[in-house]
Amino acid sequence: MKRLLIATLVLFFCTMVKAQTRKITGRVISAANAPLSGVTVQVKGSKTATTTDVDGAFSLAVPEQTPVILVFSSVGFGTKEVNVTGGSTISVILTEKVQGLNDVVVVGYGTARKRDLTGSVASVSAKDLDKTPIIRADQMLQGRVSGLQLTQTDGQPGSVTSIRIRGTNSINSGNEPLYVIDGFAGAGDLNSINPGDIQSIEVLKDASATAIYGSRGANGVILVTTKKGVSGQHVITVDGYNGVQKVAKKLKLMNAQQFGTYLDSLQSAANAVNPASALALPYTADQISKLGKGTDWQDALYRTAPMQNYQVGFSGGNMDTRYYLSFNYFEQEGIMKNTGFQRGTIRMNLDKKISEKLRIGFTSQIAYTSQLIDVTKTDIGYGAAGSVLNMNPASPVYDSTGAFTYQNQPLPYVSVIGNPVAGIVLSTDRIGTFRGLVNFFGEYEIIPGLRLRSSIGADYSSATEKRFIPTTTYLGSQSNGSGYQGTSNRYSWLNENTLTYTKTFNNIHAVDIVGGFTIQAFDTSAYTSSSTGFFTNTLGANNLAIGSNVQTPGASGTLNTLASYFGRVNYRLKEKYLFTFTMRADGSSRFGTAHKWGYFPSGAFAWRMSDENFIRNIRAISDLKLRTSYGVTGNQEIGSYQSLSQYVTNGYSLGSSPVRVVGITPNNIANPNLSWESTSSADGGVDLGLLSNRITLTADYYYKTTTKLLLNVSVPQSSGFSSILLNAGKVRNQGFEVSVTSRNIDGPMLKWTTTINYATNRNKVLNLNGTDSVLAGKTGPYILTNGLAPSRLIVGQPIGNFYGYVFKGIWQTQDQITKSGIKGKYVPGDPIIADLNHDSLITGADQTIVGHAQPKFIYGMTNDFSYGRFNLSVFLQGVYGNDILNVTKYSHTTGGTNNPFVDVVGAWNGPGTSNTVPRVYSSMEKGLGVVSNFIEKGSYLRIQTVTLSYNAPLPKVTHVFKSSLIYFTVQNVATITGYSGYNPEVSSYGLDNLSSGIDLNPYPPARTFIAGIKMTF
Amino acid sequence: MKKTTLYIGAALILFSSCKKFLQEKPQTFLTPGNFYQTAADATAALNGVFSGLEAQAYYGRTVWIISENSADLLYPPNGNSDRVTLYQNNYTSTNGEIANWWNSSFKMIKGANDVIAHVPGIKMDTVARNNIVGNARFLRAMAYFDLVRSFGDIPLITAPVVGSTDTSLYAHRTPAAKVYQQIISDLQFAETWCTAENKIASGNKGLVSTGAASAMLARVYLTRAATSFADPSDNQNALAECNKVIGYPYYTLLTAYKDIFDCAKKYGPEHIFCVQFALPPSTGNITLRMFTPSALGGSASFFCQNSFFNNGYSAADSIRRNWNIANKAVSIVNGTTVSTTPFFYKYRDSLWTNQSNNSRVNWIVLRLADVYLMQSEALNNIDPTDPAKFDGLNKVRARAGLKDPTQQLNFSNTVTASDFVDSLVADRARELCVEGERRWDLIRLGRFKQRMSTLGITIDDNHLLMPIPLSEIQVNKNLSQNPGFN
Repeated sequence: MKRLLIATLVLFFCTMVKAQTRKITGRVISAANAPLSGVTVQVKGSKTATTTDVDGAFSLAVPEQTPVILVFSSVGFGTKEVNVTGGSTISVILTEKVQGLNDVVVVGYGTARKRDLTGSVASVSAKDLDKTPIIRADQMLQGRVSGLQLTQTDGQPGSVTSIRIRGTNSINSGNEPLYVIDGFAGAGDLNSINPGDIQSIEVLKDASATAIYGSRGANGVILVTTKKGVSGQHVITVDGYNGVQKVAKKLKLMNAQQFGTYLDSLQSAANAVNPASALALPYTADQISKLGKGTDWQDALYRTAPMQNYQVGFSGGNMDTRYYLSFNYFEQEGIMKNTGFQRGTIRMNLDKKISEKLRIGFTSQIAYTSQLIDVTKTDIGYGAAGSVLNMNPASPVYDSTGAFTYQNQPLPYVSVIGNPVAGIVLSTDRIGTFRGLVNFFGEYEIIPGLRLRSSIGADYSSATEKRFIPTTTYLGSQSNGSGYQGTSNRYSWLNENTLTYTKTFNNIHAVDIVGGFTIQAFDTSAYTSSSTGFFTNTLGANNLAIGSNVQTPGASGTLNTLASYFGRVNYRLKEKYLFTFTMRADGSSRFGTAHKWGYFPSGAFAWRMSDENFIRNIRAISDLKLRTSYGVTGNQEIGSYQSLSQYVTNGYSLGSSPVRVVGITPNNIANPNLSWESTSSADGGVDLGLLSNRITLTADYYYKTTTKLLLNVSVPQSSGFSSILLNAGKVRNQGFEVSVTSRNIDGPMLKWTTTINYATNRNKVLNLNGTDSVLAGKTGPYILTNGLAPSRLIVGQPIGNFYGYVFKGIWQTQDQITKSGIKGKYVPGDPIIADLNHDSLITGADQTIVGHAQPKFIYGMTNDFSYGRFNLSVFLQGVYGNDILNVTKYSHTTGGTNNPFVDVVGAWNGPGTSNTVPRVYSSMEKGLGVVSNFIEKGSYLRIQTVTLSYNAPLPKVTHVFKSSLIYFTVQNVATITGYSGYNPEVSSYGLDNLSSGIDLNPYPPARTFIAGIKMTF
Repeated sequence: MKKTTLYIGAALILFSSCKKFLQEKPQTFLTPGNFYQTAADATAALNGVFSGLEAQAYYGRTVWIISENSADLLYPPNGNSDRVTLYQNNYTSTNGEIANWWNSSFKMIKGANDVIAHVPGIKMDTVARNNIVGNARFLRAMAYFDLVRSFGDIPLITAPVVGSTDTSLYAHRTPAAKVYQQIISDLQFAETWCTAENKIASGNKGLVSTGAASAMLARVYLTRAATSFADPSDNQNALAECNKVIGYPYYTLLTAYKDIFDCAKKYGPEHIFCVQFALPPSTGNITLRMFTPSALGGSASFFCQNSFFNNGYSAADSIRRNWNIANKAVSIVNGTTVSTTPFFYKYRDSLWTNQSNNSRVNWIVLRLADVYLMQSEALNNIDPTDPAKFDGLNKVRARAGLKDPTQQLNFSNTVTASDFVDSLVADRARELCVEGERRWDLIRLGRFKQRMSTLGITIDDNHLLMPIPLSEIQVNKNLSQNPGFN
């Protein structure tokens, strides 16, 4: 590979130098006398071109003939032509156009000039981020787009990220936005996209922008556009970085001696309560004195892990053909042992002008990702991340022979847990995913202004998971080793056909019309197979037939289809009054026979006030636009076949030597009336530019109501069913968002740019199918064993509140308990629970809302400083005003046998000893469910990224280089928060709408240090 | 422009075929449109009803957490508050195990109702069809019997719930007396139509037999006899049903007590109805792991009361004692003998592996020894002076090695009817400990409060019933709660 690359490079440079030439050198500067880099310098009428370096300098070999005309062009600047006679050095000044307005952004089924937009569209381009390595594509969005909340749910490399645009619309169906990659809608999962290939990401937020995606637009739309070649340039980009990651924070648990003491006190208390079943104390005083610090199980599990990324890209083109080809390899080991993520991608984008009227092309990527995960994490809250916290620190990781110990000790005093480090290190769970995404198009200009475009594309992915748990581990010994292989295939094809018509009449009326139809199908199939009883661990899960006990294979498949018609009319009157109307009709297979089709209209109006004379005269205002829109979008993100009555498969055992027989059971209550969720939203916004757009501001207010919610309505279980899927209920989101960019200092050497964005969203449940509240959310195994839920959906309250008891301190004396008149079995040292209804009993009626998972506002700030060749970028982001239910804390402070947090050393132990940590044997809080002292403030401000880069003057040394950038980055630099867990940006239940803000043994986040170099030739 | 016209034309053609394009064709499940067509469908639907029994939240575990862990023989270690409060009988309406019990019971009833409603419409052999319906009605009766004993008045739903507007979706409570009538009618149908045990092919063992229906009827009558709405003939009917079962020549007590629990000897002559478990790919039984101390490879989740371990059996009663309980055993982890907290060693499986959730242990719902003891109980209830009441009880004792006349019960060592009940309480523990009937036995025999007080646990009257799960009360406004709970 390397050799091939070198050979290619050599060949490339040879071709460049062979012709008879003379040399023109020069420098391009701005009106403010600042050097301009990246300016295209092209010989008019020829393909010879170059770009300026960081000093604005260029050097161009032109044919030995005079004169030539050089064309200087750069985005945001006026194009300039310069006649050059003899070989010489020239100096060129480019004047700025008002910045940004003529930038073209991608919108649904087309592009638009920023100045013409009527909807709320945020755009992040690779150019904004080219000095910072992007590890994950979604990082481009966090804290950079107002109104978009991104939560990295888990520290596991390659894990999913939750994205919410303008709040939570839906209760039971998906709230994730629609992803459109190079026009291919429904290509979710950014994990397999190489972030280095991304040219820009547009976020469509209001109905004017999203209604063209109809039934999939309600949660916002994210358009990803990958890089294309640029005519006249041939650029080779080589980019590589290396980094290390460390666990950013550890939880403070008891050491061995403290835990020994704790365990003894726990057993003494248990013996006092149940003398009939008394046990000897686990440790004698003498043993405790010798326990020392013991094992730090977190240290045993977490490690300093490397990461690396390499990319080689070739791009360029001529008048007819543009190409982009890239190769990328990314590897990230997890900070948890035996976890990690690898990704290799090849992208090829090509387009070709066949004739003046016909253009064809394609975008394509193939990717292979491999994710190594914790096999012991059989469910949320389980797995090594939680188990290491539970282990007795007196239990060693290795025995005297250096082999892994088997399980937690001493039994039966501590929880039965296998050695979690052995569990994860000896086992493997690898998910390898191959994904190919290709979209071909042809575009034909029928008459000037009228274009027909057809595309056909496919997104295919095939994931194979292999799991093996050897007999040597605790978990493996339960089944004598277990092996598993599962394959799941997803296949989607899409055909889109659009007609666009663009025309300006009399310089007064301009129209831009698009209409079309698309059909798309999504096909999934999955197959699983497993066996247990392995006599050897040598082959892992590769040969399942080696397991003596072959399990029933699983197979499943779904097919859902979507057919749509859509149209959009943009009408601009005098380039000042802008109107947009869109309409989409979607037919989806997922809905009841009576409701297959849904219709989603929107309309918008914008007024370019800055083009009115009375504003134009105000010199400070360089741009001013008011926007307003209203529209209806839908949500169809439920599984397939939900409207049908299903008979599902299960099994029983019959026979005197029982063997499995197949059974069939009714699974759900059918609902032939099942239909779309419908979100109607209104948006009002302003775009403002001041001082030649040195300061730009975009602000929006929106008001959205979602009705016909696809709601899993709980039904009495006496029916044998637990819920029914209905279109019921109503949710409202309203919010305000603003983003400001300011070029604070714009000198020739020193530059300082600040971008700030802020968003606030208020969510309210307006209707829940007639009931006032329903139970919601999950918490896993550590609390609420009583089958209740941590949250309620309550009419009048936001989605995602925590519902439970109010903690009021600790009963200090029996006298205090007696005087309070509280009935029930309480002893000093138990927590005081507020008796809200004053009936002297603590019952379910004393529960109330004790926290809110949704933040009051979210914000982000980027500061870019550059001084000469140095650039420093500091990116901060944060959320404010949310609460987190720290379930991890439950399992370490409520009297169980898991290793407690170190503050339990100071647990109540007699009057006056503590008013915060109950006596060690009190499991009251755990039994009650959500108690307010486990609700913590989740506000945080994080210095997310600090990048220092140096634009090395290599191009000066040799013209082989067009640019060379050296950079150092620290990610997750520091977090200012009062939250006690690993990470305030936590959501153990990932994308589960109703269980957000729950911290349950998450994979902790890493702090990452990266050094890299990026060169173009 | 011509092309455009063509294009629009193509779009219109496409639109007409859209309907087909948007039709859902399920790939991996059956629907009402293509199920309940054949005899094989009927069998699969019945298997589906049985399937629910194997769930951990039902007859895989919850059954004995409800009935044994809340009585005088079994106790949980500190930790799991659902189990601890059940043991201490201060459970509340938020108890998860009670919710499991409620939910799983109704889930099986749902499946049974589906079979009972749809199988009669299938064209197939009448006897085979009624046998399948009889099986489903037995299972429905068994679930309702569990529910009525646990919760008292309950929703009585006997037809499939269809659609969100079905009135039975938000059901009211039906008086317990009426629930018993439904149970008895279901069991009588099963008794009439289910196959005799000796006619059930060995590959179908596990299905309900006519004898199982009779034995269950005996248990139901005997239980109702102890309620406020007892029918005067309940004891007579119970006796008659016991006599039917005992009269079938193919039911006999196994000679060796331990053979009852031998995983290689399932559905022997003593077994009347069992929930079947097997190793994967079938569903295994977690009970073995739960009862086994950690040093022996189990999860040490439940232990044997010291009082029962120390004083439950006489010295002569060693066969059952040695099989049922232990405080030391050979570890399957390392082969050494280890001493542990006393535990129930009753359920064993030579193929069980260390810490595995899966064992082959069948859950015995009804066996002949129980029928003998019920026969004795019914006779004592009908006429305490009838010496025949000792026969069944003594037969069970004799099988356990207590053949010697001094070990047998009679009027000289068991004088009054109450003495007889005390003996029965003790003997049922020795014979049937942790087989899922203890709580109900003690309540039926009027000894629950007394037995629990010996463990220092006071039972208030409200806790003779269980609360309807709070989650259910909250969803269904038509449900009232049992007294003393909220």
